[in-house]
Amino acid sequence: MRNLIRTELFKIFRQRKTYYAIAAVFVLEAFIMVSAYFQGREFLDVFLENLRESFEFQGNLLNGNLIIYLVLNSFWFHIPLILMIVVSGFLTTEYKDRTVEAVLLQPVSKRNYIISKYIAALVFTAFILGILIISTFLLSYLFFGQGDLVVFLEGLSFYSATEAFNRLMIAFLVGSLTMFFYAVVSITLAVLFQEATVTWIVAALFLIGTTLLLRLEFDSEWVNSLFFPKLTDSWQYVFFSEIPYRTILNKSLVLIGYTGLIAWIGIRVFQKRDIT
Amino acid sequence: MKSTLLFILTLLSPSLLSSQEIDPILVSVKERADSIISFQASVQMEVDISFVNMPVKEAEIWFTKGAPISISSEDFVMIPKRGLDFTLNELYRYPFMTLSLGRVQLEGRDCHLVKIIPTTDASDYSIASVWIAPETLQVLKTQISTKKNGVYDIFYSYSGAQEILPAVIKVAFEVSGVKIPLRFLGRDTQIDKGKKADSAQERGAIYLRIAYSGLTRK
Repeated sequence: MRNLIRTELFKIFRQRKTYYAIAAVFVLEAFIMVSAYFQGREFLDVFLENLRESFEFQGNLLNGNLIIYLVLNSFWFHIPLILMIVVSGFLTTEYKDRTVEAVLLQPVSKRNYIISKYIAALVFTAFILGILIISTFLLSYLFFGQGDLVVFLEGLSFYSATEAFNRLMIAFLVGSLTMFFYAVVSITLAVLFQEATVTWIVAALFLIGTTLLLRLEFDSEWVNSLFFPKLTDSWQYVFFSEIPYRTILNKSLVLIGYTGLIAWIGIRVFQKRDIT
Repeated sequence: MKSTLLFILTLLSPSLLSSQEIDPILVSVKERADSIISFQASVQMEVDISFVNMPVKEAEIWFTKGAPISISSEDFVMIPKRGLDFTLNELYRYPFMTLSLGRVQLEGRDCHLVKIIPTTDASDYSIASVWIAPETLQVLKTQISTKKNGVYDIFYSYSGAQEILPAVIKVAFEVSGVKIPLRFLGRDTQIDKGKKADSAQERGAIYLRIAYSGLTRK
């Protein structure tokens, strides 16, 4: 099993698309930083316009912590999209090149093979997130400096630089669970659809659907706490003035459950299906 | 608008002459405040607005007579546009007349109430009311109706009867609720300037707790 995982990781880091994914992360960061540089003050002015009637402001809100928060908001759509496209390719490419058949002609069990795909996808996701987190913090603080963070969640919340750093770190860690969920979903979609383009389209639709369904409010708290699209936003709760750790923990545990379930479905389907 | 107000005040006033003289108690308060040459202070600022969650902020302030107050902080701070004028110099900046309303009660305390009415359009307020403790000559409250930014109610508390400068100031003001729903800055959001413009006014406040150092007087 360990050898299979090692082989999968070797393949991943030999593929050009892995480096496209890394490049995409940097392009996304650069885009956010350049937009913030040119438009950030305008957005902040709109934000604080009403308060400006009663207050004068001293200090810089367009700082590294705000930029990191903006990058973190790419967890809504951009980062999952990059991950789903690249990760699903780990399997669809092998279907296309028929290397799945070649591998399974060796003394390798189907179960171990597909599990190693899932594990490699999780390791790759962690790697991309690691690069994203480290580069975002370094570049944001380097170009925009430290300062208080302002966020709009049921009002305006201001956090000191230290508090902001801690909350952003927790948010990235909690948000990573959502990214792992999407990575696992994309492998399962690849198992189900096999063909790269179809898998990408379904993955994108899945992501769009999840984002839209997130806004649905059910009367039942029980449904709200179990409906999977509503579990993908736990990282946003870190920016409530009082962090609802219990809610975040519950949502995260259920999301981990869903991640395991979706992986199990993928493994079962892959095991049952003939490789032709 | 201002001329109508002056007309009404004139009718209501018991004596036209007395309404146009500067209230003697206010003159005493001003003279007392004018004796301050400079001071330095540490200020803790606590914002109390329903839609703003901000930790208590700290700033340093410096005052030198004849110069605007300067404020410095390592953090982002929201400085109220009114309330930091400890000596009320902003109210005396342009020519004004006063109307003494005599003794009134303010939170169970006997006060002398004076209305300050600017006599020039250059002033940024239309009328200000000042509640003064006559025995100590301490300003307990001011209510300033500004021309652009609504009405400010400013409450002053002192650490002792002899203190000229307040230890705690509460600045209450009108503020419009923020409804900016920015998708990329938060959850469930989109820019909607129209909604923001229509948002209802509410009262907010900021509390300033001040610790003075280096107060110099004439």
